[in-house]
Amino acid sequence: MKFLNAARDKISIPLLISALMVAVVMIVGNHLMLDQIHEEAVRQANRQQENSMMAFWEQMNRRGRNFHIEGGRMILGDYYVLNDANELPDKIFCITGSRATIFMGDTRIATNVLKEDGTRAIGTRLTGPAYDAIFKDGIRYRGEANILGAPYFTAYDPIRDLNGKVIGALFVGVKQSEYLARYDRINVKIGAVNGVLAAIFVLCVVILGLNRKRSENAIKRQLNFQQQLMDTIPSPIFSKDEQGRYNLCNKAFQSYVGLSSEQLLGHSVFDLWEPELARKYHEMDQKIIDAPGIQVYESQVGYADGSVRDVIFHKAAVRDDNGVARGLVGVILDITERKAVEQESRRLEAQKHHSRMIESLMVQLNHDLNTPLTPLFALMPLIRAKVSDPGVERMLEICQQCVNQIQGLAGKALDLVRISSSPPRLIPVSLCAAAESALGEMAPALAQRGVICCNAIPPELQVRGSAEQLTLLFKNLLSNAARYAAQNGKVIISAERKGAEVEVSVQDDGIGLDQEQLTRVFDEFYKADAARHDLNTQGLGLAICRRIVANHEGRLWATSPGAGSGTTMFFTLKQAGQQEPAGGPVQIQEESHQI
Amino acid sequence: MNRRVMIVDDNEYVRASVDIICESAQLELASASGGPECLEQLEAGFRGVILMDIMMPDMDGWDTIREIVDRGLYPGNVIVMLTGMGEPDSKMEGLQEYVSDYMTKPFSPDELLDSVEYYLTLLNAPADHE
Repeated sequence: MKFLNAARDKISIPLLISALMVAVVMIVGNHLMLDQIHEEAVRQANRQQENSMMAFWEQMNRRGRNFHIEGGRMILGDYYVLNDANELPDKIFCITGSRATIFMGDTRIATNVLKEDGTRAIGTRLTGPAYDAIFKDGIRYRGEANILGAPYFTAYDPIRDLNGKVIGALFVGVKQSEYLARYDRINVKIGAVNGVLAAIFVLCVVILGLNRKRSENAIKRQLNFQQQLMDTIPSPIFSKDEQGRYNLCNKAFQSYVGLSSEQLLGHSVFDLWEPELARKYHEMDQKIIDAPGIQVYESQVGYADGSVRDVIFHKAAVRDDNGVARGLVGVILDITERKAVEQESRRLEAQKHHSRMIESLMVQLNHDLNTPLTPLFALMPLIRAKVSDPGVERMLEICQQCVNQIQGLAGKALDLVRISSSPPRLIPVSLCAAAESALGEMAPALAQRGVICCNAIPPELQVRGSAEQLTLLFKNLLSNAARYAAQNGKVIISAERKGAEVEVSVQDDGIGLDQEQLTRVFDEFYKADAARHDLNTQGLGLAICRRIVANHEGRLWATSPGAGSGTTMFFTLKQAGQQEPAGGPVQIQEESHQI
Repeated sequence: MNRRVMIVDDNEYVRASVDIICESAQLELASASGGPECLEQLEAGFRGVILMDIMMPDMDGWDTIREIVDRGLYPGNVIVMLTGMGEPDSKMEGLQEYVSDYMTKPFSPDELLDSVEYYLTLLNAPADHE
């Protein structure tokens, strides 16, 4: 059993069955052949007995023609006594190799048939079918007969006297065991040859089986490697046979369709998906099979996890040596991210284009507003210089204020568009220098109300930002402070490192803001009460500040203890260089600007 | 003493305003509605302070300056650009050295006169030394 199991393991079942069938065929063939040989041997034995019988009769005829019994003895011719005439059977044995016997009646009177003790079987009697043929039917007998317990090929002829009465018989025969010894020897030889052939055949089968097993193992190793390689590739890979059944796929493909390899392999699209979808897939596969080369096409597919992905299919028919398609292979390349990047890039480009368009529109608008403002701006002071009526003077002043407001609005709107159109390139800039530059530009406005401004930003402090936008940020904050600080009041600009950030504050001692104003103050066109009637403001300053701070990835907020208690504007920026964050306030070097 | 000023602007009212301001300051004003007229007057011998608008149809301020320089009409003149905020400056490359100052529109009479008087003084200065 163990051997069978081992054989079954090492040699495949079909090979084993083939070997057994060959063995059975050989045995049956052998048997049939030996049967033929046996039959031929029997035929020859019988023929030999016929010849022996003829020789026996010839010997008899040489000694006389007639037989008769006289005085309890059988006489041939006139005098030749056959009783104990063993020389005659012996002569036959010498000539033909057959044993011979002369019967008187049914009793052996001369013979070389031996009894078990090795003595001549004189006196023993004839029995069986030969007896019946000779003595009952009076005819000769040919065939097999049992003589003294041993089977013989025999021939019996009756001996008749002159009256034709059967008075005895002649017997020739050969012991089957002796005669068939030759046949048995041939049988053994053929058996041996067959055995050797069978052994060689089995050996060949075993060698073939082992070789096959080795090849199978090598193929298995190769397939394992191939599967491992495919499973490592993140793109779904699959192949189908000519019936459209999946016969190979990698892990990425399994996750893509949400089915295990067991569920996939051996199944077609019709087993796995809705009929409509399966039909579509099948038609596409047919197109691939009909077309030469590798087919590449873009598509959108739903993954098993519910996500819809943009993919590129690469498919090709697998053909045999005659060019007949035996299936197809396919790779799915996920380009969702690439698409998203392209889409994002297109969106950004469109946004940029849009921003550029708005900016250019604003520039044109600004120019077209400033051009007619120029004569107004230029001529109004000349007119006022020539007017002495206080009423007209007042009207002209109002006109001047309106012109100022239009000009301010145009400038601020342009600022807002420009800072919103594209994010600035953030580089290390000196915060103190940006504040200083703004202070320089805002000096006249601050001086008008006698406001003192103190720039307490450490000169070495650098932030990541756009110098131009940071200056604009300070300008707008200072413009507010100049407007709302107390008459002859004070504005303090300071900065404090907080982790990776810098918190900047612009503090005034002016009218302050209530809770509602604090939340709305950064909205476009919002003016706190006191400013609503101020024709020189546009309500865009803090909205510009908010955009600039957002461009710098910072936060902007305002605090005020309440009306009349001043306002502090805070904003955060990223420190340049990201040095070790220094806890607590930085050492600030006070620098005051007398405006 | 050279007290000549040329305003180059496509807007008629801007030109008229500058005219009025200059007249009040006893300046000699030449007026050009665009680059070609400006070049004509320079070819005709104008030398002085040129107030040049940037954004003009067909031939803008920068194109005009390039033409002035190319035709060799620049010497003896001072150019002050009249500009609005954020106007395109991509064309100023290589021409900045011919621009002495920028004045943002709208401007007050004082701003204009301060600037013009200053550059006229500069223009007249070498002649004084001669």
